[in-house]
Amino acid sequence: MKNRSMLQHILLFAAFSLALSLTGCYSGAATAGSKGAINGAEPRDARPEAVKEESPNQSSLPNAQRLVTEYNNRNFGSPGWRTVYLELVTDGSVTRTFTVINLWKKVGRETKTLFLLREPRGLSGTNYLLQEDSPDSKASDMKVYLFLPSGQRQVLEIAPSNFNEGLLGSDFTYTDLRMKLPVRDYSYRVIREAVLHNEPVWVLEAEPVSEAARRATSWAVAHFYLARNFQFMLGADYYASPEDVADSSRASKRMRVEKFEQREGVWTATRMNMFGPANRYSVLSLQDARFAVSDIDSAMFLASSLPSLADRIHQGWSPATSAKPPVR
Amino acid sequence: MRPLVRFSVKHPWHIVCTAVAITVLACFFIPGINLQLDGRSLIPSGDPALEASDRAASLFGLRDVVVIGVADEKAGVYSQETLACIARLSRRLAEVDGVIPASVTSLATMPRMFVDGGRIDTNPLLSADSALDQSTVERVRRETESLGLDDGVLVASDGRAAAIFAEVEPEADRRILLEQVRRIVEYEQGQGEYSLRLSGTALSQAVLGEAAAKDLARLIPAVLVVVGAVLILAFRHPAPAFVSIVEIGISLVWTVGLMGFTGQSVFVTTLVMPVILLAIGVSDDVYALTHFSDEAALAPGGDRREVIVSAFGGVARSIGITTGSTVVGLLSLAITSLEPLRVFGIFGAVSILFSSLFTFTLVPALIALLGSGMARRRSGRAVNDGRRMLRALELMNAAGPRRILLVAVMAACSAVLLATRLRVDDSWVKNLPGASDISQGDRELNRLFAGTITLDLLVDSGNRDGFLSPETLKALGAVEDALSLLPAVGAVHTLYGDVARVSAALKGSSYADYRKALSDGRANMGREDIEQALMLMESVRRTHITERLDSEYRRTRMTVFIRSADYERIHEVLDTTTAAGLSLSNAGGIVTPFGDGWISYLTVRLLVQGQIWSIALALLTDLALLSFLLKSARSAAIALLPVAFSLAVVFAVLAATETPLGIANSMFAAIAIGIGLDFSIHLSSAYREGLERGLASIDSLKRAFAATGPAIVTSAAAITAGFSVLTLSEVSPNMQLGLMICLSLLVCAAATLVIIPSIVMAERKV
Repeated sequence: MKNRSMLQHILLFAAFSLALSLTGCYSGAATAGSKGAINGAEPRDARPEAVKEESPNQSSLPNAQRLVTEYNNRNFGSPGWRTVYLELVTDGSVTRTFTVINLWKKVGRETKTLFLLREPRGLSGTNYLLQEDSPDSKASDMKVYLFLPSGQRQVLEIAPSNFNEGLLGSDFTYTDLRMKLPVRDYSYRVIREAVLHNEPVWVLEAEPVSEAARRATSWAVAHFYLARNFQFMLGADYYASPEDVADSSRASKRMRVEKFEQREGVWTATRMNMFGPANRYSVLSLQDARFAVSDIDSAMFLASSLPSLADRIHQGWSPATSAKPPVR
Repeated sequence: MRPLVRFSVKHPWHIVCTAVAITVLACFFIPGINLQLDGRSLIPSGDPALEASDRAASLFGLRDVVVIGVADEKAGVYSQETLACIARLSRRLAEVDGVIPASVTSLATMPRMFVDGGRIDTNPLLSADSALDQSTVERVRRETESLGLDDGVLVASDGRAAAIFAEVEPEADRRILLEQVRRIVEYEQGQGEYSLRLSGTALSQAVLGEAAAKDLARLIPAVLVVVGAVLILAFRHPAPAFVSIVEIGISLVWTVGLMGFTGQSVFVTTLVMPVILLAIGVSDDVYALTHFSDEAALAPGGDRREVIVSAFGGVARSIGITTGSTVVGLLSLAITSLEPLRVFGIFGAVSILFSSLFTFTLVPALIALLGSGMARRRSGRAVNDGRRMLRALELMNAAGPRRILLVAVMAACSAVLLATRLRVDDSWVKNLPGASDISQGDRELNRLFAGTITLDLLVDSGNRDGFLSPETLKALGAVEDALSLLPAVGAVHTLYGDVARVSAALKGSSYADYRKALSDGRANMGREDIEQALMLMESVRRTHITERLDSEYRRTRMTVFIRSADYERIHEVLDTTTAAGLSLSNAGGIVTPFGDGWISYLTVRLLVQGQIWSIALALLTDLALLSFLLKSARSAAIALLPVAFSLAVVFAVLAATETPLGIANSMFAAIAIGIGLDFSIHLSSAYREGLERGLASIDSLKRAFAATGPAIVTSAAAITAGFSVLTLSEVSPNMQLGLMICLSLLVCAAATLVIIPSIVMAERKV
């Protein structure tokens, strides 16, 4: 009888705990800091997580330049590929979805990244090539090429002053998709320590210093939240004006890595949100990824290869089946 | 009423103190009144006719706009000087309080999809980094023409003018906005060969509010002075004027206080309500005070209090009837769907009830306190006035009452026939003072551009991703083509045009050539072209694609720019849309009109319906009321004839002068019925009373004519004089309203003094 009563209590407690956890009132140890174990809210209800400020200790702050260099030299698994799912959310509803194949490779000093649009069907074959630290670019250290399969089937270079436009209409801009932090024409300083997703982070403040950089970015000041204990960016806040920095709620755009994990020695985001204006945000979810893949051909990362890559995508090619598509 | 009057003259200070105390209390509630300046507020939010269009406006974020036109009619806008001015104005307009910075659209802000030398550029034509040299000017001209942006919206088709548009936050203070926009325009004006013009709904509202407030400040004192002067002349003593003005002033404060207490809105079109109510309120006092002064003259040594009780008690019945008829006239407006008329009708009626209450309380109390000097002065006049009226009656009899009636019937028939040509129309811009910069600017911009009034149409494809279908998009293009052919339509902006513009740029073709190729069937836009164009537009933040297409690609907004838009022109656009959109409708598509043009159109439609119903209701209710009080349906019908005649005459005059009936001036009918009927009620009541006392018909008429004729003339003169101050209004509908009421009251008073006696005399001769 006593055992039966105890069993009832245990079952009741379990049911109560389950109910609480389902309603979100009790989340136990599910924090972002547990690296990949985040049980964040559904995308439709997502809000940018607040950054918890740590008491400033100026003497212990690292050198910003060193931090940027370390971050840019991190292992991001080049050459590698991933398939991501991009959702655009407006007023709590998913309005557009895209499936994008993303490949990247370091070629000398340069880092080249391809974005090959697989879905929706009507846009399949729309490709982007993003080149960072491009030695032949005078105006910016970045170049972006776009291939549009419909009409003239032409490869177009995107003007640097358009780098702050939204990729596929999302809240992610071309500059947000860089592998590295831009160095040329930007100044950095570490302003404080903080905690984001239960992870200690350095708050790295960036400002464009040249006219060209100012035109190429939609922000006047950005705060990047770099994990202290591993090379990874956990979030970013972008401010349209330096006056807005005092109040983080006035950020014009906020990025939060909601889920992340280490795969094959590379830290990667598995879900990332970019919050734009009040009623909309974009979610990038990782579907599949491979790092340090040996057989990704450098010829793919040429602007002239974008049309043939589009044809391959149309024919159903995926790096999961063959990392090296035949390039015409 | 007698006990009330008796109490008032017995305890005058009680009455006065109570009235003053409540008046002071009412003053505290006056700030609770909301001043509504936007056109949308004319129609209640729950109105079924507007529910769908409200949803459409909300979906596409429709807001009031500011428009600045920059024109250089000699050299055109493609010059370094004018383009620099456009860039500066765009920047400064974005800094104006209440303007949504990202919404500023001009050559300096509008992103364009331009492909040149293998590079795609979405920066505005006049981007911040481009030096404004001659080559940039030429590039701007080339790209504007190639992209088809010179369609009369952003740039005039002849290149002589360019526009800057900005959206305004709904809660932004329109007065501050107007002030700041005027300041930046004044600063730029004269800096070059160009001229600057202002327009837009947001600025129109501010100017209208400004003009109405100025009117109120000028017209209230003017109406008090005029009414006071007429009453002093009529009674040859300042006391009746003072008493009457205090009475109507207090009833007005009570009414306005009640409006504030109940959180009512006041609209620009009815902001002159106090002026109107001051003029109406004097009517009852004239009859009561005339009666009092006549009785006081007949009993010079009598107890003043008893004279007051007797005089006011004697007119209680007729004033009760006239109050009833005025309240019925005003309340008839409450059945309309237009908020300004409804609020005016309800609270105008409340004000009249307060005024009538004071006629039997505050007025006797004040007379009791002021003394009887007014009676002494008037005594001789009453007899003379009565004699004059009897002479007029004899003249009518000599002229032949039947002949007079025949002429009246012919005049009425002609007026009714002419009134069928009456035009109904209302427009915010046309209501503006003609001399205002916004009114003049709007006229100029309508001349230079594609039109400042837009009719928006929500086209629902019926399916998610519906507008990715080439057939559906093509059907939308067919509607655009059909509308573009209408003479009044200056430009049509649709998703079809936007997609074609991007596709043309990607194909290296000009927009005009590509549209022609699409029309000829030489080019075709497939689903991939559409998706690609939409993706590119969505990538560019400043394209405002969300104002053109919903996130499901199911519903789109079509904007039709109409030159000097009026009811007929909007109606034509709607008809053409229905006919041309047949293929869309057959595929399950639904077209919902919305925006300013639709509100104007709907307002006119509701106004016509409201006028017909409210006039019919007022006349029928008055007929029933008078039948009960005069104990004869026939007498009641005869009493209604003068007012019906005056309405027909005013409508005919409006039609003959091609003056449209709008919201503000349409109030005249209710006022004319309410006040105009008073004349015949007083005459009919007095005539009826004579018959009840056993007098012969003609003797009763003579008695009634001599007793009420002078009061009718005085009342008509005082009220007409009061309303005549509206002709000083800066707002043309208010000016028209003043003229229309004056005309209708004068015609009604004359018709009362001619038609009713003629009918009685004609019957006697049968």
